[in-house]
Amino acid sequence: MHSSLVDRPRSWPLGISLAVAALAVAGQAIWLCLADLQLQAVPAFVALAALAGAAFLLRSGAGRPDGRGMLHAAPPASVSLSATPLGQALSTHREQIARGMQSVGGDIGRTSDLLQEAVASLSDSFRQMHELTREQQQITLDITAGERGQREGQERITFERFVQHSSSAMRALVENILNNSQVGMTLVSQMETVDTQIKSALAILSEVEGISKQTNLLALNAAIEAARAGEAGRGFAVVADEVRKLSGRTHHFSEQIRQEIGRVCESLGEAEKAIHSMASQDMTFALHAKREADDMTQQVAQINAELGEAMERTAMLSSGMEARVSEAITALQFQDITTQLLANCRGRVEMVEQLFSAIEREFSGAPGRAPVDEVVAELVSRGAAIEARNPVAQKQMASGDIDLF
Amino acid sequence: MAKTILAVDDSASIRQMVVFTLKSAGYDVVEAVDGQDGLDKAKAKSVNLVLTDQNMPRMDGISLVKQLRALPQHKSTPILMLTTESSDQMKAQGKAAGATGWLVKPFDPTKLLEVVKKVIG
Repeated sequence: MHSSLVDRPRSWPLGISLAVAALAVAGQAIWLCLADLQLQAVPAFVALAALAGAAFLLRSGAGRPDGRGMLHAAPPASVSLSATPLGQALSTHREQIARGMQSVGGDIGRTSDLLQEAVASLSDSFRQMHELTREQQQITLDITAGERGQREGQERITFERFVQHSSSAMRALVENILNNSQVGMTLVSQMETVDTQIKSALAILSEVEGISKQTNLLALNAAIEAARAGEAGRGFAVVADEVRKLSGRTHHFSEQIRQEIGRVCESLGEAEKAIHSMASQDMTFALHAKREADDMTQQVAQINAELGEAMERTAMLSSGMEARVSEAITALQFQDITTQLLANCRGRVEMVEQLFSAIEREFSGAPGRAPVDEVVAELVSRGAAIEARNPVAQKQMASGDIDLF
Repeated sequence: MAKTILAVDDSASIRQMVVFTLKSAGYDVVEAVDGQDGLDKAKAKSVNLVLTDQNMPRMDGISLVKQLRALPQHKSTPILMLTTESSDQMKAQGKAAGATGWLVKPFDPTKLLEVVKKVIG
């Protein structure tokens, strides 16, 4: 047996009140869920829901002291409700209401799809960022450890070792140059000694030449005396002649020795100049090079220290980036949670849609309609079930609990 | 040899994040789009751990746990639930069905890996 407002004006104010409550709750839930998404259909839907709610309040008399709906006061009991202004208004806006409901349902579906697509894309981007960060971190670690470019069987070369080796080699080179310079200075000193000794030898040679001249003079005097002695001095004349020849040869050898010593002196003088020049030049260069090498070593050591600090900072940044990506992965799971919430919203929208249909049927007086009380009771029951079965209890995006059984 | 984990979730993005997290840690991951798909893949492949969502089309997570526990090869396979569900009632149902643990979404990749390592090493 069908109920009607005309037959049973006070039989379902509770049902109507529940319907209005369901409308309000559904509208509020959708509004809260979708407010951030700025779906244009939502305000229209809420307006229609309010209109329908007001209609029921008018009909049910909820809030009136006499319990009679405002609608009941106006038309007489025999007038069809579909002919009332409210009935006509609901009938007129039925299509708009249905369109609004479909629009909300469609927007929820599209929101869900868009979220899924966007989050999948974001998730993939974060995955790639994470992989790039890890690669960057590995490169940093390799550079720090000196593993990149290492050949099999070769000793591992680090920048620090390179600096140490270069510095050590440079120091040894400079020390060698300084040693050579000192040796050169010693040679210069020794050359001066040789020069003195040669001069001494030349002085002795001068003595030899003096003796030779004197011997020649003596031989000449002996020859004169031998000639004066006549036949008796002929033998002595031969000896005097031989002595004179000997003196000539001595003079000749002395000249040759002097010439040779002169050439040796010239060569030694040249060598001395060269050694002196080399020793003084090398010393200047070596001292300059040593200072430069020390400066460079200090600078390279400083660069190496700064590089090490930069590497450590880069490694820390990489770790930080990895942690942020991890947080992003946690946050990106909002899509799964909101999708389930949106599915809940969709269920509620469908409920409200069915409620409107029932109301519209009630007003139209269509035959075979289900009593609104029953429809409302079923919808209230379904709403309670949806609420009880809501799979999402999260109110924030902090990571969830973990229980191991 | 890397251990294999079966990740069951109807959300593609969640699967993507789970796969990324587990593969980064060196695990092999087999994906399934719902409970039925998960059951089929668990029957076909040897897996060391099952990580499943609860609310999925065709077959939900707790039903999957029950079905897997009925299979001789998965009587002792660790099964972790990874779901938005957080009520004690649902957790009790999961435990009764034979789940090894219950992780509430959203998951923290680091914590997920800690639990996985704890369960299968």
